[in-house]
Amino acid sequence: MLRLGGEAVWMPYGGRRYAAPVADAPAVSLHGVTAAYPGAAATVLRDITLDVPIGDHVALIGPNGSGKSSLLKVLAGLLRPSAGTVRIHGLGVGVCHHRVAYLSQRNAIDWRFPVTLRELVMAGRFVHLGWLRRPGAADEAAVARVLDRLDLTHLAARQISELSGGQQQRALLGRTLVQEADLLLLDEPFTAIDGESRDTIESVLRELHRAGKTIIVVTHDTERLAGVFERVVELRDGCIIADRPADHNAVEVVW
Amino acid sequence: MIDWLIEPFSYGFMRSGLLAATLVSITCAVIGVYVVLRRMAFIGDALAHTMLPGVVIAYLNQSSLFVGAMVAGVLTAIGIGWVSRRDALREDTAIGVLFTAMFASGILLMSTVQSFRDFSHILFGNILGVSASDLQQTAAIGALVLLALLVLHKELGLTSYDPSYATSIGIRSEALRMILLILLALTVVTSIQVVGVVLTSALLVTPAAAASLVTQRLSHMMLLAIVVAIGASIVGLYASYYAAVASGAAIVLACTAFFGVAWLVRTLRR
Repeated sequence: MLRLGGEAVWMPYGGRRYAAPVADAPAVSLHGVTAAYPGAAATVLRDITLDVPIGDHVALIGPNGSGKSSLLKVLAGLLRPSAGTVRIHGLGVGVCHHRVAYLSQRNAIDWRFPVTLRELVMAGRFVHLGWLRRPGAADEAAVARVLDRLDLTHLAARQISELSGGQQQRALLGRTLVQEADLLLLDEPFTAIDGESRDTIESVLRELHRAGKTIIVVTHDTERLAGVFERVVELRDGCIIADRPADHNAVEVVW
Repeated sequence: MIDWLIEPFSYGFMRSGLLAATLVSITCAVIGVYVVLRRMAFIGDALAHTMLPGVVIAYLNQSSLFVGAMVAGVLTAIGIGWVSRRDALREDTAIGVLFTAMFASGILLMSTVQSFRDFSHILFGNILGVSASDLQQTAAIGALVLLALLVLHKELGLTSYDPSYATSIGIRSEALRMILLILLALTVVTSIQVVGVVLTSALLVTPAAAASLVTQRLSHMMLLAIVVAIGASIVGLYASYYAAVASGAAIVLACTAFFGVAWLVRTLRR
């Protein structure tokens, strides 16, 4: 039995256990990726080629429908490209699920489903548990630490339907944090949030950056890129039209 | 008063009826919570109706009606799962076309048999006619369904509220949905005995819907749904004994009455 994060996975999801990353491979490497949603005629990504080195901190920007979220979905294994290759730490998509943490777009979640904030965050541990196993004391401790960091401890027993937009986004970030992944894919974590939640999320992102994690964030907010990100990739109509440092003067974007 | 309460259950058929209703109530109530929360109420109804041709074919071949219903139900579950993977038609439309066609085939087959009456207990249920072997089958299937739901609890929950994240960690949401549909088909087979094909979705949906009005916790919802379903079964059986009305319909209306109470409780709380 292989070891993962110090614990054994008995029956991993998708039958995939721990796989060592390929040495010197970038965190993300896309080459000529083209993708369309099943049953839809429109192509959402066209011939995308992009390398993201380990530890990079990238903002994906662009107007609605430009392909930002679709690009994250390709990396998370939710959308299969029709052409091109995708490598994550040198491996195929889905070869090592635990290493990639995906933060779903807020409107992709049924917030009326009866789960508490703590239960939602705990789901970030599932990939380390696999089928059949229930969360143990170590998982509880990991969740407690993250709730504390995100200032959510006092809301842990609340139903997710009763949380504000900012609290819901912090809870989703909490779930990606307890997964203890190396690559974080965050789809619009700054949507519908208050200033306090934004500050908390930004400071957590900076901490993750210092810890050497690779982060790719889809965001609409082009005003505060410089302090948080180091690189900005801009998409339009499914193509990359700009790739520049975040503190570059050309951040002023007119859509 | 006590005599009034005890008298119906001095008969063996009433005791077996109560036991059957209790077993079915537990299974239906627990899986019904997923049915309601995942907005699958229509699918439960469709599954029940599509079992009719399976039952009739089994009858014509003089094999077990139970097995006939089960085969038809599981095939339909797989069919629904398969159809809804395609985007050519909206899922509810596809199911609407499929289940009415199956139900009509069942009726057509029934009309080829001399007596329509032979099938009335399939359409409307015959809880007072359950045999010891029926009870054993119901208990075995119920235990299987509940065990599967228990084992898959954390994955079923996650795929219900965030299928994208579930897929990203390697859980195949579609496969899980298919498993849920098959468990649903097995559950429906058991409840056909109690309330029949036509009313079976009531046992799946109404207790869970009532519980979801009163509590926000998944485990409490399941427990409360069980209480409602068993309570309605008892009330329905008394009604059928003392008022000489159809037991299946009485159970369903008792469920509806409990739902009304839950609605009232929720309204008064606000």
